[in-house]
Amino acid sequence: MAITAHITISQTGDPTKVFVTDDTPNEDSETYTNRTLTILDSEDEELPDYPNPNSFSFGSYPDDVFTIAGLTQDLALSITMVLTPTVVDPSSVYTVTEQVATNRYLQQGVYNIQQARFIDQDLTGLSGVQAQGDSIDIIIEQQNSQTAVLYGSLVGAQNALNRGQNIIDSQVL
Amino acid sequence: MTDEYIESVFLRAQRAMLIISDRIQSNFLYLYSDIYTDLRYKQRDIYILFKNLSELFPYKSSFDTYNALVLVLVSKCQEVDAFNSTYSTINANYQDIGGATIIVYASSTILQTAVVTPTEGTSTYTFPELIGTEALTAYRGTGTVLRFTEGSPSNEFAQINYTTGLVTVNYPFGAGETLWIEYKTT
Repeated sequence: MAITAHITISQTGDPTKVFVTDDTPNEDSETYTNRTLTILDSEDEELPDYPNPNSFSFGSYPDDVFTIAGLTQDLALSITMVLTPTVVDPSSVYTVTEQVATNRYLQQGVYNIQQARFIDQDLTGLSGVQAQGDSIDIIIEQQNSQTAVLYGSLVGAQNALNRGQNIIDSQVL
Repeated sequence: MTDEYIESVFLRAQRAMLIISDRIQSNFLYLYSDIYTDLRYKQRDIYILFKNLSELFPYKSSFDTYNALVLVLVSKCQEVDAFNSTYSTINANYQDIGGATIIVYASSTILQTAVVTPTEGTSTYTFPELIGTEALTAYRGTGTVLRFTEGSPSNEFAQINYTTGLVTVNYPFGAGETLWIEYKTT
């Protein structure tokens, strides 16, 4: 049975991690000699701790989940999975690329502002109006990063993420 | 705090944002710039909380103060309802937006919610969940804010019986009208 490679990129509550899941339908209908991941940032550079191609072998990753850890801010990433079949089926697709802009750091930043405003009631060096404006600006940059990905611009996505992160970094909560 | 309750708060937040925009559009607010500014400020707070909390909903167990922020969002929606009650006579059309909702708070600590659709034409509904609780606040749609104080479970708009769970409102339910109750579980 022909297969078409597919991956899903996700995050959980921890903004430092990104999960790449190989969820290729009917993957078991063929056999493979290797599986790799190529991870690139918006500048087409590899991540410091993840030299390409990253091994994503079936033997080492039986749960089909690869974890990218150690992120210090949201990133626009291009992730390519390559399956190397034992026997090539001409009707199968063995390579898939997904582009993504992670948003968990920006979401966390917005959350921290609301917590400081409404729970801790301790907005040091930031007025309520400023906090509200900053929150909306961060949310807009989240949206911008996703829109840029839709247009295929990882550079634009990373720029949006950087602008959002700059707002967070400039705050004294 | 259940997932269903949090999701109901998200719906309520969206309704509150709609109420504010509708109210602002009704022109009279421009005569009262302080009210306009206050409402816009409140609407943006609601949007930020709604947007952020709904995005983080799948990971809410990771955040110690998530539920507390949900309650902040509830309080802001309550403020919108209170405002709308105050000005309900100015724009009659506005009553149509949220007039079908009654929200009954059975405790200052809100942990559960139930939504029902009473029979059209009746004025009562029995909530088994209310039995043994102490309702503090009730809301009827956009037009009327009902406040039950402890020990006085009635006012000119509704009565509530904590022994039987019977809620009696002062005029019959309309077609499709929804009755909400929020109560504390033990």
